Amino acid sequence: MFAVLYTIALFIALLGQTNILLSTVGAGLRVDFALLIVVYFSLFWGSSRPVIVGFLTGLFQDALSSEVLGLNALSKTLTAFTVHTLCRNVQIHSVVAQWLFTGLAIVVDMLGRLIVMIIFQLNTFEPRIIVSTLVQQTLISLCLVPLVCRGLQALAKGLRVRQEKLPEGTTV
Amino acid sequence: MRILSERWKPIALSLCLILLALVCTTLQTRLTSSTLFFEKLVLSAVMPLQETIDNLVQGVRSFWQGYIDLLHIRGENLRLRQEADALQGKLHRYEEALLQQQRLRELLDLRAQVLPYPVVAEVVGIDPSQWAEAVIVNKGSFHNLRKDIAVVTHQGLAGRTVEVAPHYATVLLITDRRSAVDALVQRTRARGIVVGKSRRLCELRYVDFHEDIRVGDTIISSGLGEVYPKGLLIGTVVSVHQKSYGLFHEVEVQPAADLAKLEEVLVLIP
Repeated sequence: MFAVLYTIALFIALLGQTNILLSTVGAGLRVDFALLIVVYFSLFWGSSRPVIVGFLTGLFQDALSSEVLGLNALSKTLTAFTVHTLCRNVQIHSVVAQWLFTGLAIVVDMLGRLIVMIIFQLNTFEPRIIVSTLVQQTLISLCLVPLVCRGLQALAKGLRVRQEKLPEGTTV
Repeated sequence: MRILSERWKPIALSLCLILLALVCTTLQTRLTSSTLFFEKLVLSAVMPLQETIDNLVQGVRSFWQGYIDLLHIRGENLRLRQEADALQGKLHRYEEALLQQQRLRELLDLRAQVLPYPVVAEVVGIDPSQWAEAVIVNKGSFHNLRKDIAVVTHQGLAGRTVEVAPHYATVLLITDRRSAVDALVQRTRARGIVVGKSRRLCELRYVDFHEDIRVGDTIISSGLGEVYPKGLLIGTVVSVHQKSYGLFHEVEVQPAADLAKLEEVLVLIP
């Protein structure tokens, strides 16, 4: 059932991100729904699942995107690993904690991308565009992350998916 | 030992997946530039659903707009009739000019200009990455599309195809940082390269410092590079910075096509 939960979440995220009515072309007021999915699974799921979810989400995003395959897969794997490792002793049901980890995820995702772009000599952006996109994305993501987490938890409950392993120090 | 392996498992797995991602990137950047089977598969799986959602929303929207439009239809009809008359006159003049140009071409013994075959495509999605300026259209290799074909709108050049699945294709817009179009300033024939600058703007690079270029100048494609046919309208110069040093002008170009509101495009198959 976990696979069903993840597939539904991924499909909704990808459809939201590629929809011409919900999003605009290029940078601007856009939200990386796929990243929010990764944040949710990294916070609320244990074991190796967050890392696999991060990789697969990034890979599917790459396949739909015009960017090179592997760019998002790498950055989202790194993000999932970082968030999952650091949230072990944190009360993840707190909205403040979710905001903090979302902010961290956005920064790690961006850094991961930039490093790969530099390594593979791909065209990067002007610092001005990077900063403004980072700020816009962070603000929108912070507003949306509690809703995404609640929504996915409700979906998991509806599908009767039980979290096998919770991070230490957390309660359901 | 078991606790240790449990502890190291996510780290080892993360490293393996990061390596795998790097292998994917290397494969696509260094070895193959064509659309991978996996990419075609995902495009073909997600986009039909997206198209259905779009059609539903468009249906509801057009129903509502149809009702609103009925209220203004008479005035609109009169205005359109007048506009059609004016356009008819213009069309006649252009037809005359085209015939004259053909005659002159033949006279000069020039090769007749081969016009590309246009395929109408609808925009059904946008690139999921906020770092890319690209759209997804509902025509693909099944409709004779292939990689690196120019895409235009009625307003001007939009971009080129970069990934082609059987029924869908990804179009990289000219404002994307990876896009480059060899261009001419229509008035002076000064040459340069239009490069995407993101945020719906382009930059005309490598225009010689001695060339005359002004705000309002029209930029067209030069036809070099075998992707974009010659003479396609790219945009208008919105700013020119003349530095006291350097070899080139710094020119910002506003694309003629409204790339934020693309709905239908023409793919120009050579």
